[in-house]
Amino acid sequence: MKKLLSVITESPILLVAMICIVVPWLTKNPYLTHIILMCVIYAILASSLNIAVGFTGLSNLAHVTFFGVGAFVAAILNTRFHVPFYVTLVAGGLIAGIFGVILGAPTLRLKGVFLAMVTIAFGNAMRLLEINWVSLTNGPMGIGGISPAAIGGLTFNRISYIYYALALLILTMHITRQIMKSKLGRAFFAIKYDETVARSMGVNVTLYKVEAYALSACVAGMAGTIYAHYVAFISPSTFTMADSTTVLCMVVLGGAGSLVGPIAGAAILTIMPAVLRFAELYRIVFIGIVMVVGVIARERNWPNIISDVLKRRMLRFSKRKAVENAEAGGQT
Amino acid sequence: MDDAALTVEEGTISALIGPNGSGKTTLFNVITGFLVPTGGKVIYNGECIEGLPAYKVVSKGISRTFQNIRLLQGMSVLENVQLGRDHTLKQNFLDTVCVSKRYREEEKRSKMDSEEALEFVGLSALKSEMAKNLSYGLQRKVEIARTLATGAQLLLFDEPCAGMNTMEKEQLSFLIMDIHKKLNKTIVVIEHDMRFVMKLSKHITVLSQGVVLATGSPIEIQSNPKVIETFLGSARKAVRANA
Repeated sequence: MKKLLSVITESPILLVAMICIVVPWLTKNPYLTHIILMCVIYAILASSLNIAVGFTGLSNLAHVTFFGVGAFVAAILNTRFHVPFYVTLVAGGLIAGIFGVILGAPTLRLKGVFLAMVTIAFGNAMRLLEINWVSLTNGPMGIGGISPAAIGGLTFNRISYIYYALALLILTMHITRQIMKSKLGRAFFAIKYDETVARSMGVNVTLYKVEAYALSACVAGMAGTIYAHYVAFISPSTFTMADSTTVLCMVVLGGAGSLVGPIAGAAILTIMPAVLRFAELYRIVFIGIVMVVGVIARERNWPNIISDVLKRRMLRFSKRKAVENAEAGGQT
Repeated sequence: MDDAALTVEEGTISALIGPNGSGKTTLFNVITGFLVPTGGKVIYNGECIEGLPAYKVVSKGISRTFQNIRLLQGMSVLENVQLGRDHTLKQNFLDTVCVSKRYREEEKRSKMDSEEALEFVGLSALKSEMAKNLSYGLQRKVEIARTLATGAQLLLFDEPCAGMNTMEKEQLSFLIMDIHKKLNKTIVVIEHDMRFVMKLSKHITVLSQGVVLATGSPIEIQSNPKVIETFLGSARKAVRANA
């Protein structure tokens, strides 16, 4: 049993997979199923944003824009040209990736606050495009009647979407983990910590910055495709700047630059508002408090300190138990 | 900087000295592509490389350290050195994601080569340590290991002794001599410590206010009247200021 536990905790991907596979079977409640799906989708968005923000140190306050691009691509292709799900998935990812390049290429020299402002402008510009290009996107009236995802003859029910999103999440986690152990990852982190060093060590900073944006956009776009088929109706108001900010909060809360951090952040910030539904407006206060405390705790390394203290207590407790058992055994 | 002319012979240790602000680091920046000269050429191994973007210079065979230690603080010592080796790797995004044979072999070799570089500077025991946990002197050694890992033939060290005590400077001079002798590298050092410079280098170029004042062997430079005036002048000012 202990060995199984250690295997699972050592492989975060396996852990996430097991949780997500098991949980949907625990409930038939459609609301809970919806929350779980949204949790997985936000985890994908946070993980993909992590590649640009956590690894490469870029700013992006409009990440949900790429999610929206993927969704619109799926909606347009599906309702007008009857393109099936798995093709829209690829198309959504690719075209969102192109928009990642569109954001990345002109912003290479910007840093910090200035880059953040430009990403906000990008997000707003895209929203205006979606609202006003009525012939393409149907404007504020949105696109409805997106056919549910289907593979072969089998149409997805609600729970199948969770598994499809889970597959994408696991792929994203695999990509993230591989990047962290490769030349690409070292280049990304070098750009984040010190661009001058990166250049002097042969890193083509321009190329890698654009690549970071394109990759994070591509994954977000694929998530958008899944979402479009799930909700069957999307419009420009489905994707807001507030959502982008929430995704960024998930990355920061969970730990930018790590593998599971953004996913933990996504889980906390998706499940908590749902659980706190009863508290109405106070839940926003709770979320704010969690954000502030969470970020401070991570900066001051409280999670590791607490787990060290707990480990020492457990060790002392188990030693005492062993001594007691030995004495009891000796007496009988 | 005007008219600076620096000639470095392959396989030697040279020094670039001069008062602060004379253009030494600027010259390094021009050689390594961080600054584009308004005139003149940089010729390395018969090739004109002035104006080459900075990221392409290391693959030509030139690597440098910086005046302020620039290690990636959030990464381990080994990863920092591996970064130096990365420009020789050919793996692309697909290799990384599909864990291809090329990826696995390159990562294995990169680790081995980087560990070798760390071994040479005597830091293999610290390879898993976070860079930010190391002392100043050790961080400087990691930076040097990183330049070794690049495989560059020409190494430019910008004030490697800055902030070190006498014993550390002594150790560093032995390390640099080792790199020169055992690895056959060509080295150019910018330094202010004259004893360090005279002991280490075969050839010295003196820069002052962006112009070459004198070049020659250590003995020639020590007896050059113009050099004595420039350095002695600043030493005299220092004595008067303290009196």
